[in-house]
Amino acid sequence: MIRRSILQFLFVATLALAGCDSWEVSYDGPDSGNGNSNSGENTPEITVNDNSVVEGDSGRKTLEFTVRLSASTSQTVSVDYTLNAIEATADTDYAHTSGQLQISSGETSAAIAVDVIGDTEVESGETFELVLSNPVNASLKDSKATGTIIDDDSSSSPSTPTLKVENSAVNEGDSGQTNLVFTVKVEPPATEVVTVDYRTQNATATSGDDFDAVDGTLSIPAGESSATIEVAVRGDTAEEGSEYFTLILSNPENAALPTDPTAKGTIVGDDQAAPPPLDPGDDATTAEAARFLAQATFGPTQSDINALLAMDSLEEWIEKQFNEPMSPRHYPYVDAYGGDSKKDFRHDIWWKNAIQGKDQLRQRVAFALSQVFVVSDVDYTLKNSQRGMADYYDMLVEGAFGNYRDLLEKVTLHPVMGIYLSMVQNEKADAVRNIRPDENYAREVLQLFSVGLYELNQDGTPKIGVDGRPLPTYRQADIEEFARVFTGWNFKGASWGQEAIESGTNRVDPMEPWQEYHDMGEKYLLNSATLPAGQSAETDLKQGLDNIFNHPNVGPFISRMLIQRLVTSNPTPGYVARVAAHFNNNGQGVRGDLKAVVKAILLDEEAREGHLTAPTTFGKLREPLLRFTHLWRAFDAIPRDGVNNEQFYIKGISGLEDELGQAPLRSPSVFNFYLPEYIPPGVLQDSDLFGPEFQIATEGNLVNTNNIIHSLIYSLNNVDKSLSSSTAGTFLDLEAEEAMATNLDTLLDHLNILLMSGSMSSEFKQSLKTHLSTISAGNETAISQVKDAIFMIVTSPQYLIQQ
Amino acid sequence: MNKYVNINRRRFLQRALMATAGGATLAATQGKLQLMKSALAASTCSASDEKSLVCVFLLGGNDSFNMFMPYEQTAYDQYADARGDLAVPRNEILSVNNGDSGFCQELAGVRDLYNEGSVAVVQNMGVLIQPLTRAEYLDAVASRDLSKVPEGLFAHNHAQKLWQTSAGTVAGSSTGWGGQVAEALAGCNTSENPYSFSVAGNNIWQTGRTTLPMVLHPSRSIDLMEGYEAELDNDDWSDSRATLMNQFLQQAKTDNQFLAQQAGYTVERAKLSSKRLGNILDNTPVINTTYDPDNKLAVQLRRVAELVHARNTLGLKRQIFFVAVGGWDTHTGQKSRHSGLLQMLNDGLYSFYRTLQELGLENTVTTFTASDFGRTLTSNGNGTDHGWGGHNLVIGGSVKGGVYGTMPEFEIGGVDDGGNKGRIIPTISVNQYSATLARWIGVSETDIENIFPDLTNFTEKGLGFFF
Repeated sequence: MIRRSILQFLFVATLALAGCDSWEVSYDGPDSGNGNSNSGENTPEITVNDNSVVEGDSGRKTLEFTVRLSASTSQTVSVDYTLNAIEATADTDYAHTSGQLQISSGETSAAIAVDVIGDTEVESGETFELVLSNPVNASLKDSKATGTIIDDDSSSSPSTPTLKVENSAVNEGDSGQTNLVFTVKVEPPATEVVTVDYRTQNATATSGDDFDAVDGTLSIPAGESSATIEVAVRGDTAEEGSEYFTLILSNPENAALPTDPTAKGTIVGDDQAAPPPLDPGDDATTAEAARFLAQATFGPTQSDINALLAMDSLEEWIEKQFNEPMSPRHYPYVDAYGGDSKKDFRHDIWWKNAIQGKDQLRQRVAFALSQVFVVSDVDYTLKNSQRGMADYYDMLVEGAFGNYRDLLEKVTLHPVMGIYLSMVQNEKADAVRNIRPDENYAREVLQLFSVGLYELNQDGTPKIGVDGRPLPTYRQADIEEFARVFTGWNFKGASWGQEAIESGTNRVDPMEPWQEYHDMGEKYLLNSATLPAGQSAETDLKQGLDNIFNHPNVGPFISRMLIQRLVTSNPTPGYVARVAAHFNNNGQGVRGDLKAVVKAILLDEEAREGHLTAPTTFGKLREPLLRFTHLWRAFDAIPRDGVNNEQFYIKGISGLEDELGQAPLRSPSVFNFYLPEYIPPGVLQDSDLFGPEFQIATEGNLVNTNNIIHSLIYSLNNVDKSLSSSTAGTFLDLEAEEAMATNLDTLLDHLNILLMSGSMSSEFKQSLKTHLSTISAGNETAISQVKDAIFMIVTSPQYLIQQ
Repeated sequence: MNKYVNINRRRFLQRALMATAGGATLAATQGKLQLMKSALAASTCSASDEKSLVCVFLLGGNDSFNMFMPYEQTAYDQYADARGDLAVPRNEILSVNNGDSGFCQELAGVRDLYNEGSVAVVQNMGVLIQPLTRAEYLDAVASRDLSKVPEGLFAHNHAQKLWQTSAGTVAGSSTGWGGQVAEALAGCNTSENPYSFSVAGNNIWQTGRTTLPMVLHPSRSIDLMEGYEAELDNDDWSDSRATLMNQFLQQAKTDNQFLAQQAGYTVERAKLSSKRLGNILDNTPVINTTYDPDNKLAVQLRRVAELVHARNTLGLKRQIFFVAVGGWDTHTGQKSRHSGLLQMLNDGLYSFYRTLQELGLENTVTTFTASDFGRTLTSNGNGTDHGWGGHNLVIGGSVKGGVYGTMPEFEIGGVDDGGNKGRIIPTISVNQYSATLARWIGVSETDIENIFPDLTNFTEKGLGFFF
C-alpha cells in the first residue's frame, strides 16, 4: 500500500498559464485565422495529446501537455484540469496539480506543465492521466491525455515497444467536415523513432461519400508515447444510421504491431432525428405516432396522436415537451391534504399528473428515474415522511430534463435519501468509540446510481479481463474511501445525534454539512484520483461526485437503464453506444445532459424501427402501473372520489405494490421492483434475453391486475358517472367507442391504434370481431361490445408487450 | 455466455418448453430433452416418504454474529472487544453447548428447540468458490485475480444470487439450486400441480432451468382469473369470450415475438395455478398454534404449513418453499432494529415448528435460514456494514441438533478478517450447507455434483447435520 504511506503532500505550483506562445495552430480547417464571417458560431473543440519525458536521476523535469483549440475564438476559453495517477504515484513520481487553464481570445493553444520528480529506482510504465472538464466557450473533444515518465534507470533491456490503436467515433455533423481522430500508442515509448503505415478501408461507410480515404506513414518520435491519425468525415443531413470504416496499420519499424492491427472508425449518424414527415392520412404513420407515444408518455390518447400528426417531426414534439411547464408538484398537495403519514395522497397526485399532466415526457422520464435513484417508503424509516417523499419525487420531475450531475448531487443531499441509505449523520472514524464511516450510500451510489459493478465498454457490454471474467469497476477499498467522502451531513437545522427517524427533522431541504464530523483526510477515488486532505465536506462531496460522474461507465450504464424503462429490455450494444455518446457529449461539449439522452433514446433508429428490424426481441413487458395509466388515458378517465372528484384511484385496493407488484416510490429495496438483468426461465432464458418486468409478473400480481381491470371496465363502469354521484372510483368514458361499434372494423381499428400501436394481427382482429358480433344485448349491445373488446385486448399477452 | 452482447435465436426454442408453475405442464416432457444443459440423473424417492424444504431468507444481511455468540469467558472477551458497543452483554446470552456459546435472548424459543435436539447451528458460513485463508484472499484482491473469490461479494444482489444459485460466479447463472433440486425430484410428484412455492415474491433460488415457483400471497385467497373462466360471468357470451381469451393465450405461446411468448406462458401459469390451488387454500387445516398476525415471517410460515399439509391432496411427495423478510440491512439504528428482527425470527420459527408438530409433519419438513452475508464486526456509529461469513440455523425433526463449524476469531485485522473492518472470511461454504440439504430431500450424488460444481473444491461434501 505505497499510496497510503504518503503522509506529506507536495503541492508545487507548476502551472504554465494561458498565453504561452510556443505552440502552433494545428487546425487548418475553414475556421482558422481571424475571420469568423461565415462559420456561424461554431464552438471550437479542445484536443490534447499524450506526452512523455525522461525522468532523470534527481531534481525535476517538466512534462507539458499542450491543449489545443480547433479554431481560435473571440472569447477566452477555459477548461478545468486535474491529474489521476495510473501506474505512477502522485507526489512521488510527479507533483500533483489541478486548476483551470485559460486560452486567451485569438490563441489556439496553451500548455499545462507537470513537474516530474527524478529518482534512481528501476521502474516501469509510470503513467498518469490528465483529465479535462467543464470547458467554457469550447467543447471537449479529448478529455484525457496520458503522461508517461520514461524510466532511465533501467539496467535491463526494455521490452519491445508495441503499437496499439483503439476504435474511435465522431458525430458526423450536418455540414462541413469533422475529424475522426485515431490515437496510435506505442507502449512502452521507444528509444528510436517509430514509423508505421496506415490506410483506411471501406466498411459500411464509403470513402468519398462519408469520409476521405487516407493512406500514409505515421511517425512517433523517440520517447513519445503516441501520435494521431486524423480522418476527415463529411457531414450531411441524410438519415443514416451509424456507419464505420476500418483503419489498418502495417509495416512498423522499431515497434511491433498489435495482435489486431485494425481499428473501427464510427461515424455516428446524428440525423436519425428526422423520420419522414408525418402524414395524418397514413395508417402506418398513425400507428407509429401511437407507438412513439407509448414509449414517451403514460399512454397514447387520440388527441395526443392527432396533435403529434399535426407536427413536422417527432423531434418537434420532444422539443415542445421540453418546454412544457411542469405539472403541479406533489409536495404542496401532500402537504395540504395528506401530511407525513398518509401515503395514499402521494399516490393520488402521482396518478393525476401521470394521467392528465401535459408534461407527459417529463413525467414519464421522472418515473423512469425513480426506478434508478430508488428510495422507498415501504421501509419503516420513511413510512412517515410523505412530505419528504413527495419532495423527492418533485426533485426527479424537475431534474428529468436537467443534467445528470446536478441530479446526482441533489439526490445525494436529499434528506429522504439521507435516511434511506443512512448517509445522514454519517461521521468520520473515531478510534475512541471504535467506529468508522457508514458504507451504505457509498456502495449503492456506485453500484446502482452511476457506474455499476463492472467496467463497461461504451456500448454497455462488460470489459472482460484476461481471466475471462468481467472487470470490477471498484473494490471494497474504494467503497471505504467513498464512505469517508460522504461523512459530515445532517438534516438542516438539526442537532448532530438527533434521532433521524423521529419526526421533527427537516426531510425536504438539502442536508447541510458539519465539518467536525467530516473526514478531512486524503481520499483515493476511482481511476486513481485523489481528494487532498483538509477539504470541507462540501468540496469533498462535489469532487467525489465529479469523480463518479466522469467515470466512462456512467454514460452506458445510465443510458441502458433508461432505454430499458422507456423502450426495450434488450437494446443492442449499438443502441446503447449511440445514446451513451449523447450522454458523454450533447453536441455542445456538455456531459450528462438528460435532454440529449432522452432525445437520443426516443429518436434512435432502434426505438423507431426495432419492431420491424428485430421483431422477435424488441420491446418490453408493460409495467403494472403503466397498464393502468394507459387504460385511463386512452379512455379519458373520469375521477370520482365522492368528495371533490379530483382523485384517480383504484377502488378497494389496499396497497398498490401488494396487489400489482408496483407503486410509485414503493419498491421492496433499493434494487427497484426488478433487476435490469432479470432473466425468466423459458424462451427468454434460452435466448439470453432480459425481461426485467417479468420479475414481478407473478401469479398473484397477474391475477389481481387482470381482475382489477375487469372491474374497472365492467362493473364499475355501469354506475352513474354524474358529478352528484356518491360512487367513488375511476371511470372510463366510452361514449366515442360506443358510437363506433356500429361498424366493428372501425371500432377495432381504433382500438388497435390506441392500445396496440397498430400491432394487432389480422387473425387476432378477425377472431375478436367474430366474437363481438355474437353479442346481442338490446340497446346494451354496443357498450357490451366495446367493453369486451377493450378488456380482451388489454388482458391479452399480445398487448402486454410494448413494442 | 455473455448475457449483454447478443441474442441467440434458436428456432426450436419457439416451440420448446416454457416456464411453468413448479415445472409441471404438458410441454414439460418434450422440452426437457432439448433444454437441459446437463442431463440430471433421476434422483430417487421411495413411495412412502414425503419431504418439504423451507428456505427462510433474511434479506439484507443478518448480523448473525450477534445472534449466536461465544459464551466461554476468554472467547467472549475477544468477541466483546471486537464488537465494541454492539456486543451483546454476556449475561443476556442463553448459553448452550456446555457453556461454549449461546443464543441471543430474543431467540429463546429457538434455544428451547435446540435443547429438544431439533436445531443445528452452522457457524461462519458464506459464499466461497474454494477454501480461502486471509493471506490468499488479500493476495487475490491485490492482484485482481478473482478466480478464487466470488464476484461482487459485498453487493446485496450478487451476494443473494451467489447464495441462491450455487454457481460461484454471477454471470451466466440465472438458475437457483432450489429450482434445480425441485426439477431433479420432479419425478417423485404424481400430479401436475405446482411443487415449488414462494410466499415472498419471485426469487432466483427457485428459478430452475424450466420452472419458476408459484408465488402466493401469505394471507389472501387465490382468485380465479376473470374473463378466462366463463363461469365467473353470466353474460350470454361469457363462453365465447373465455374461449377466445384462452385462444389468444395459446396463440401468444407460439408468437414470433419472444417476449410475447414469454407473456403467454406467464399468463397461462397464473391462470392454471390459481385454478389448481384455489380449492386447497379454501380448505385449510385447523391450526391451534398461535401466530402473531403482525409477524411478517410467521404469517408466511403459516401459509407454508397449510401447503405442506395439503401435499398429499396435491399429489406431491416433494415440495420446496421460499419465505423471506427484509430489514436486516442494519446500517443504522442496529441495536433496536436487529433486536426486533431477531424476535420476529424466533417467534416465526418457533410457532412454525410447533405447528408442524401439531400436524404431525415435523420429521418431514426441514427449515433453514439464509442471508446475503454476515456483517462487519466493527460499527459505523450506530450500525454495521456488509460482511461475509455468518451463522445460520437448520430446524426440523430430522435434524441432528448441535453446533457445526467453528466460531471465527473475533479479532479486527486478525486471521479470519478479510481486511481491517471485521469482514469475516467464512470457513464453511454455502454449497456444503446447500448440498447437505439437497441430499436430505433426496437428490442423488450425481445430481448434487451437477448442481453444486464447486463442491469439488472442498474435502467435506456435507456437514452432517441430519440423522
